[in-house]
Amino acid sequence: MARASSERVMPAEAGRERASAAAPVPIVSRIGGAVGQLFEHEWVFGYTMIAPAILYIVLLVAYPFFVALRFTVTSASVSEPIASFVGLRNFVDIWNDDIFRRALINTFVFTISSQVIQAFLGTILAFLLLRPFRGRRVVRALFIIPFTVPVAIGAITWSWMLNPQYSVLNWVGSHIGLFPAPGPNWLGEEQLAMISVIVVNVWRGLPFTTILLMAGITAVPQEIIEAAALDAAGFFRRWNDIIVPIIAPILFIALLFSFVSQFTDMTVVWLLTRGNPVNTTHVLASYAFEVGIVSGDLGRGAAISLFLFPVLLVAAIVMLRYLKSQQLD
Amino acid sequence: MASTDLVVGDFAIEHAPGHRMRRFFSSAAFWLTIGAFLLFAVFPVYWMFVTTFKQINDLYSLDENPLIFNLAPTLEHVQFLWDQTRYPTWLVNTVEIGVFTVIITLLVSIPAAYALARSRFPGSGTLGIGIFLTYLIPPTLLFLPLSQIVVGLGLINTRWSLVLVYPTFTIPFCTWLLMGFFRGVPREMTEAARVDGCSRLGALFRVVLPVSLPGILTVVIFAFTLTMQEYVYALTFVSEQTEKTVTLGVSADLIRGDVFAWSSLMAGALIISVPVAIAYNFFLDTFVKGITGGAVK
Amino acid sequence: MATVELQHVTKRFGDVLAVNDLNLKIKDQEFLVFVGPSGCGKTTALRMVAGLEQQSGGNIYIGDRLVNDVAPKDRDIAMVFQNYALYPHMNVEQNLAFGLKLRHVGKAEIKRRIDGAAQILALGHLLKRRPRELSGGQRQRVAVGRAIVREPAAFLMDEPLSNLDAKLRIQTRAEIQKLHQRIRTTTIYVTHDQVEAMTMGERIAVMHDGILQQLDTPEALYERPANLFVAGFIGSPAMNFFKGKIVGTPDAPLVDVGLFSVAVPSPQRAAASRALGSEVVYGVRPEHMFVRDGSSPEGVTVEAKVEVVEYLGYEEQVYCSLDSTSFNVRLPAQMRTHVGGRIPLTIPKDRGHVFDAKTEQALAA
Repeated sequence: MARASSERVMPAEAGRERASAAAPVPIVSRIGGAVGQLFEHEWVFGYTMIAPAILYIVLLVAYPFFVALRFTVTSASVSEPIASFVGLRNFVDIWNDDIFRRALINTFVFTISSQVIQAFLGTILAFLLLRPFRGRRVVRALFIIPFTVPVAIGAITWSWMLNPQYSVLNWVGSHIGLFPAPGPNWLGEEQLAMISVIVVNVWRGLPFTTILLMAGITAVPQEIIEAAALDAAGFFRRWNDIIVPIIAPILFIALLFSFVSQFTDMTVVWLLTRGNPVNTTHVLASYAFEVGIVSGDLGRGAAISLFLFPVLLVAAIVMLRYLKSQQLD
Repeated sequence: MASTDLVVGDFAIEHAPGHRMRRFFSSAAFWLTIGAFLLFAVFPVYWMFVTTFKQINDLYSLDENPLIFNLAPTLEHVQFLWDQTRYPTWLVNTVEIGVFTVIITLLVSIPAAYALARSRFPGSGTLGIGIFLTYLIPPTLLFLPLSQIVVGLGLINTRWSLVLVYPTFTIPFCTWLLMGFFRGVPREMTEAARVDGCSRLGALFRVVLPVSLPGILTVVIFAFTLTMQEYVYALTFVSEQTEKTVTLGVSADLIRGDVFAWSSLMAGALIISVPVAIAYNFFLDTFVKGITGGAVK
Repeated sequence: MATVELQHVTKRFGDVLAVNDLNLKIKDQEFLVFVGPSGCGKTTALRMVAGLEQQSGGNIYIGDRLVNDVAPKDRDIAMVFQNYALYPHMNVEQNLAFGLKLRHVGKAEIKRRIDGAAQILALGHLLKRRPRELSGGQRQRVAVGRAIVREPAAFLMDEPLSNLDAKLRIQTRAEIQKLHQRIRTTTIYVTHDQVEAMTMGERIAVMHDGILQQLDTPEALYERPANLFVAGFIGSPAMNFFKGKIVGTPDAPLVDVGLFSVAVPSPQRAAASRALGSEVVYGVRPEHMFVRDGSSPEGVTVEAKVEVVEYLGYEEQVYCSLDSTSFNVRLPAQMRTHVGGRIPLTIPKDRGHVFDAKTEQALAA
């Protein structure tokens, strides 16, 4: 290598000299050189670089997914994983299972209602937080806390706040006169338990929705908003005709993400109610866990969680079309 | 940390200039609304805090105001958590799992994101979207087969099962984020490096990575916190006390039947939540930029 | 330093033919400019020379070496990018040294070259600064410096001036010319700006739709454009075109454009004689028309109506119309032309250009 610098004094010669210097190089490094050369090819490089990610996903996502599909038509269980083919019996079984049907409905009720509430509150909040005011950064920092607390921890904290005996919410509620002294048994009654689950979902999801909305709104060029203001457009006018169309794409992806993550989540239900009272608050995910892991019935458990799939598929297709349209320009 | 200050005029509420009363009320309404939202967001954390440091007699007394310390605060529950439970082990496990997951994620995601952001090869678009979409596949769809795979590999009941499985969601997520960051590095910069004497890979290491360092850091933080927050896989794969993570340990092992050690539970929750919350606050802006950068290119 | 040669080089992007069978040889020490409208393939051609784009067909030689499969890093070329592409995480000195370190050039030699480049480009006081602390012009000089220190076989420059403001661009244009006269490194320079091309290039390759239209010296491009595209592209304001027909006799062919007839310029007369009756386009540059006075050269004179006058101080640019045909002329400023008035314009007989209307090629001898 020491020669290199003297070689470079006469740049005109350098190229040729380097080319001819290839001959005496030992064979091993020549092969290395050839591999390096090949690696410079755009396709070879691209495929090589992406291969580990693809491999990981194929082995630990795609393959298990097909295993899960196979589970659904077998009698596999934790105690005897080598199972026999049972056709659609698992599906028939769960369809006749009242808890399953309740879980299916709950999944939609919980997800949709908490999404709607989040979108509504998130919009209000995003506009409030976008106004310049003293202490904005602090408020924002405090505000995203629910998003940063691990879901399981958040759910447990809420279950402590809603504890039948020592509920702090009930203490406050009864002291300011919302309801009489002992207060509602939040997690023990069907309706109240469902409301509780939704509230915790909103508590957890609201910050993220708000932050993405804020980012979206900020991305609307200020001039456009000013132009609209000059055109004397009222607030709702501006919101509908200008802000929404411009931020729609990113908003849409964000909401879809948050929808999917809530749709498939079991943590809140599992830690808050464990499906109780009397299995009225299960969602598909938590019931699949109950049946598949706790009771060890892999076939039926997999069949239950497979019901999540059509919704995910729709979400995936919608997102795919969106991404394709993004790539066209 | 560079932060974009998200300020957009005040087109939310119009107020006629000069009307002091109206302005006062609109400002009062503004702070009331903000206050209500803040209370909703922060109260559970406050309650976590109060519970952690309350004496047992104070905590379970039904007559006193539960919102304040009626007896002197105490460290006894934190002490208990530290000395009498596996909490320190869970913390170590959590960090260990996080670190290994992050390493695997970076090793896999950085090359993939770089190739997807910078190279044109047949199918690159489809593969990119494919990787992204796997993020939509939830643990609840995969935990049953994965538990069988984990058993087959002899990793059941060890934290290594989680190190193996966590990248399935960190890789898609981080690849997507990194793509956004890498696209932010001008293409010409990599080309200049290649003309200057770098191989394609060399340009990644010598130019793209150093330039997108804030992005990489953001990805590290978020991948790490994603693993810290995970619950379903941990619950499914790990039942051995000494192998548990904090979220799992706190929510499972501090509850004995119906007896909840609420104070220690809340202490354990608080200890893990605070650093995560701080980390998120630091990197939130870059994070949001990464998400939108990936989407809007 | 070296020659650069492209033989039948073609580049396809999907169905689009970005560069179509490009053949040219850049001489050692030459300053050659690729010029053309955006999308004409000039940048793609340059990037193929750099190795940043793999050609779909053909051969590229740098010096005597066939570089088709040689990675950019091994081609011994340096490149200046439009947005400079300085490394933001390195200071100026590190930016300059980067390519040399990668090539294991000795420390003393690196220092010598950086000092040399810093002196030529007046970068001495900026060496410790980061790119973001530099002005646009300074960044541009660093980008050039990064190429110089490499002492490569050839410089490739991709619109290096287009991010500068007008004044700085003209100044830097001259500096790059001076630099080239001093170090004589073979240079390929890409621009969309024909003025830049004309002032800088020793030879200019005009490209359009992926095809090399004409490769010649600036004078030749101006005086003898090979086809309609080159005629319209080189020169500002652009050449005026009139559709017409070859009439007259083989001895004295004329172009009849309907509104007037004008003699075919002498270099093209022989070709025109063989093409009596064919459809042609007659072109004349705005600066070659005069308001008739006693000393006007021989030619045809038309009465044109003045539509718009742009006063530029040293001259006027006048937009005229003749019936429904519009064209423009450059006249001395003291003419004081009035909008709405009529002026007698002389088209000198040997300053025009005649192109075949179908092939768009200049009628040639």
